[in-house]
Amino acid sequence: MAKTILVVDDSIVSRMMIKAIIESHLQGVNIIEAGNGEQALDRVDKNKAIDIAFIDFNMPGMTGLELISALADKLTIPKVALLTANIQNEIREQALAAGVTFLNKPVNEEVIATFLHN
Amino acid sequence: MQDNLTSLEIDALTEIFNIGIGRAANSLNQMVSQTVDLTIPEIEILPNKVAKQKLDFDSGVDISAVTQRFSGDFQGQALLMFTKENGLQLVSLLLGNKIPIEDLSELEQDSLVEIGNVILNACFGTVINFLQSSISIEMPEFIQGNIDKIFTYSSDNDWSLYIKVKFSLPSKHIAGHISFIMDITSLEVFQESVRKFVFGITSKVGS
Repeated sequence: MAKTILVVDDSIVSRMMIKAIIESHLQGVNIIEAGNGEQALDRVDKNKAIDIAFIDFNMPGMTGLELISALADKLTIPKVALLTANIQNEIREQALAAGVTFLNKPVNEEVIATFLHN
Repeated sequence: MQDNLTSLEIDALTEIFNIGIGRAANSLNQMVSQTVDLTIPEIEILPNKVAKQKLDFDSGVDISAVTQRFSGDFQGQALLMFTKENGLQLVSLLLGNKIPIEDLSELEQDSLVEIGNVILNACFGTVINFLQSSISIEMPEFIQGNIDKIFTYSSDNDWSLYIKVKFSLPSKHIAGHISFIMDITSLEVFQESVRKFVFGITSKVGS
């Protein structure tokens, strides 16, 4: 069955890069894009499963970690990656505490592919 | 003038600086062992006199700033700015609060130059790598005074590409600004680098 992947990033370019890598590694994937946390919460239907989420940390409005917490109230996403260049320990620890994989920006194909397939 | 950069190019630039500033925040976090919060970079093309007003410092306020001029494929000025009081608080944190704040003035310049060097170079490194550009960066320089002394340019009527991020150490009530101001004369070359970067992404998406 085709996977559904949520990509949340305020940068269109960043979403384009992530989307291109995902589509080159997974056939027939359904990608839901959002430019911020509020939009992501609007676009996610609690009755439809999301398999994987890529969520930027530094966005206008809620941060990526706040979004992950809000999403957890609506549905369970088995694999969530938090994307940021801001690798301060506190953020890394909060990500780990939330059970989220921390991916360093800029993302590259190898990192995204490893996350998708593992 | 504002139409020179498309929304996709501005988006790409914002993301590049977001990554650069994120790395800079990480460096500052390691230096002072405090969480550093960041705003999203603001990118605009503005006349110099408007850019100066956007720096959010009243002309009566004493500012401590570290500036680095850069030249090559594009040229301009990078600035790290604090109020004088916040600058001293940051130096105190860097030195582990071991020296009374009234005795810090002697160390202020050296310490802020070091902080500025680390932060501004983390940003520069990211931008240069992304855009595959060649620029040389001068040594950081410490300046103290009001905004007219800090932000210098040849003419009020010239335009600049202006990038601003506010960062803060919320637990210590310290805030500062990082700004990159690029001469309009080098903007065309800079835009070309951004366009190549965006084209590289869009062609990958389309393939």
